[in-house]
Amino acid sequence: MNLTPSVVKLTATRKEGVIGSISFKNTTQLHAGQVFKIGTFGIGETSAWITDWEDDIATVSFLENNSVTHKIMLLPIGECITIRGPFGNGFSLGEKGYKEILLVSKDDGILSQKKLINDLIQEGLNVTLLHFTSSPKNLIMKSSLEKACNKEASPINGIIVDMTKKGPQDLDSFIAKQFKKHNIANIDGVALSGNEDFQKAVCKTLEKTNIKDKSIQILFNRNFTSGMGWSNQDLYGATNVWKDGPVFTLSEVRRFPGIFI
Amino acid sequence: MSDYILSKAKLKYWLEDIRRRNELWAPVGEGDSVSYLKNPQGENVATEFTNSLDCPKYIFCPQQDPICNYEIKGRGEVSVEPLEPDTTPRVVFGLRPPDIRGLDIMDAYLLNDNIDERYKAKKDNTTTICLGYHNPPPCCFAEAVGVDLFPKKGSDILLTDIGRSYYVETLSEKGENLVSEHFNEADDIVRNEAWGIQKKNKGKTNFDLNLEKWKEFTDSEIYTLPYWDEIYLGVIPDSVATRYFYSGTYFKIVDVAKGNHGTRYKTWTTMYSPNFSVLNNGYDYKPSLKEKFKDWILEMFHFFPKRHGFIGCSGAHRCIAGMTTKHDIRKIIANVDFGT
Repeated sequence: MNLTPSVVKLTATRKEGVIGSISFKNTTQLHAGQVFKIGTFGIGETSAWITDWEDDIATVSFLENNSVTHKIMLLPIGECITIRGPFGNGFSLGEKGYKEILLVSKDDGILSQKKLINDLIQEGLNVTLLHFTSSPKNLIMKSSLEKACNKEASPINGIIVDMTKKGPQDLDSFIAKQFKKHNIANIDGVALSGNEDFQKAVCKTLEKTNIKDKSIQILFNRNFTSGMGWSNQDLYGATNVWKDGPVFTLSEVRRFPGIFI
Repeated sequence: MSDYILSKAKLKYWLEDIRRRNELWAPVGEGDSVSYLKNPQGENVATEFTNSLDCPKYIFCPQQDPICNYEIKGRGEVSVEPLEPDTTPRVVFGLRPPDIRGLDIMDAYLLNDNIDERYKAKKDNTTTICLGYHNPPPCCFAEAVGVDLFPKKGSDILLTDIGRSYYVETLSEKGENLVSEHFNEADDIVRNEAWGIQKKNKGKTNFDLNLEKWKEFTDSEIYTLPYWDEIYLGVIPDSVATRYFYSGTYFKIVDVAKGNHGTRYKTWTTMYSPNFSVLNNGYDYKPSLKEKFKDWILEMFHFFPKRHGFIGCSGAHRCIAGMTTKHDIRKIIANVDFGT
C-alpha cells in the first residue's frame, strides 16, 4: 500500500451545517461508497466520502468535527491538500439491472449515498430514499435532502423520517412501522448505510420482504487503517472490510460472525 | 543446506564480523530485561535468555516509520519527498522460535493483498538467526500454537545450544552467506548430540488449548458464546500491550511539523487507544473492552487461522508474563465454555 499521499489543489469548498465538502481534480473513475483519505501536511488525515464526480472533478464530503477538517475548510481555493485513495468497492446497484431502488440511510450515512442517487437518476431508475434523522433541526445535507423530498420537483421519492419521534419503542419496531407506512412494494434493490445498530434493525425488516438478500447492499463503515487487518479494527470475523468491501450484500453479511443478523 | 559447529567463545568474533558488514540487531541485557538493540558489541550479546521483553517487531516495522518529508513553499505549492524503503543489509541474531512465528504473522498481515513496501524491503534485506528454544520458560505455550522449538523454516540460520558450542544449521542461501571462518564442519557426534537436545525438548511447551473443539462450531456460534461476556472482566486496557503482541496493533498517520516543513510518519499503537474504533461521527463499533478483548482473542485463534492457515499467536508467553492483567491466555482458550 502506498502511504505517500498525492498533492492536489482545492477547486472548491462548501460548508453546510456540520458537513464540509471539497472538490479537486481526479481522473480515476469513482463510485458512491468509496472513500478518500484527505489531509493537510502538519495536521494529519481523515476519511471523506465521495459525493460527486463530474468532468474529472471529485467532490468529497465529511463531518467537520476534527482538527484536519477544520484546517481544510479554512484553506482558500487553489491551496494544496493531500489525498490517498479511492479506497473500497462502492455500491453497484446500477450495474445489476434493478428497476426500483430503495435507499435507506441514517444521519451522515447519506454522504455515501449522495453520488449514488445522482448515478441512479441518470440511469433512469426509480429511486425511493428513506432517510432517518436523529437531529431534524440540524439535518445533514439539508438543502439536498429537502430538494429530494420535494414531491413536485424531485425526480426521486424522498422521505425524511424523524427519529426523535421514536419514543420508548425499540428501534426494530419503529423502523418496521416506517417501512409499512411508506409503501416499499416492488422494490428489487436496496442500498443501506448508517451505523450498525441501525443497519441491523433495517435488515430485520427487509428480511420479511420479498427482496432477495443478494439485492440488499450494505455499507460497513469501519475505521480505515494502513496495515490492513493487522489490528482487528477493520475486520469482521475473517473478512477485511476494506479489502472486500466496504459494501457487502446481505447474503455476504450473513456469513459474518453472528452479531449482525 | 549445510551444518557447522561454532564454539561459544568464538560467537562474539562472528558477531563482530557480521556487524562490520551489516546492521546487526541482537539481544542485550539479563534475565527478564532483554531487548534487541542495534549494533551492540559482540561481547554484550545475550544468549541465556528466554524471551525479550518486547517482541522484536520494531526491527522490521518501527513504531515511527517516516514515509515522506514535505515542505510548504507557498500558497498552492508543496513539495513532497518520498522516503525510499530501507534496504540496509541487516542481520538479526538470537530471535527465539516464537518470534520467528511472529514474523510469519507480520508477513501474513503486511505482505498479502496490500503489500507494505517498507516492511517488505526490510524483510528482504534481513538475515535472521534463530536461537533454538533449549530453555523455554514454564508458561511458554509455543508448541501448543504450532511453533517448533527448533524451527527449520522461517529463519536463515538455526543455532542449537549443545553446551560449549552451537550446532549451526543454515536454512537458506542468505544464511549460507553468513558462514565464516569461525565455523567448523559438523560431524556425526555433534549432529547426534544436537538432534538429541532438539528431541529432548520436544513437547516441553505443549499445552492442550482444546482448539479441536472449536472446529465443531460455526463462526457465529463461537462469536456469540456467553463465555466472552465474562472473560474480559479484570482485563486492564494496557497501552503497553502493543509492545508484547504481534497482533492487535493498528496504524495511524502522524505529521511532525517544524515550521513550514516536516515529516509524515506511519506509527503503530495499541488497540486499547481511545479512538481505536470510533468513527468520525462519534459511533464506536467496539464500544467496550469486551468487544476489543474478544475480537483480539478470536482473531488470533479462530479467524486468523481461517485466513492464513496457522494460529496468529506466537505462544511466547509475553502476555502472561508481562501484562498487568495477569490473565492467562492459555486458560482462557483452553477453558472456553461452549455450553455443551
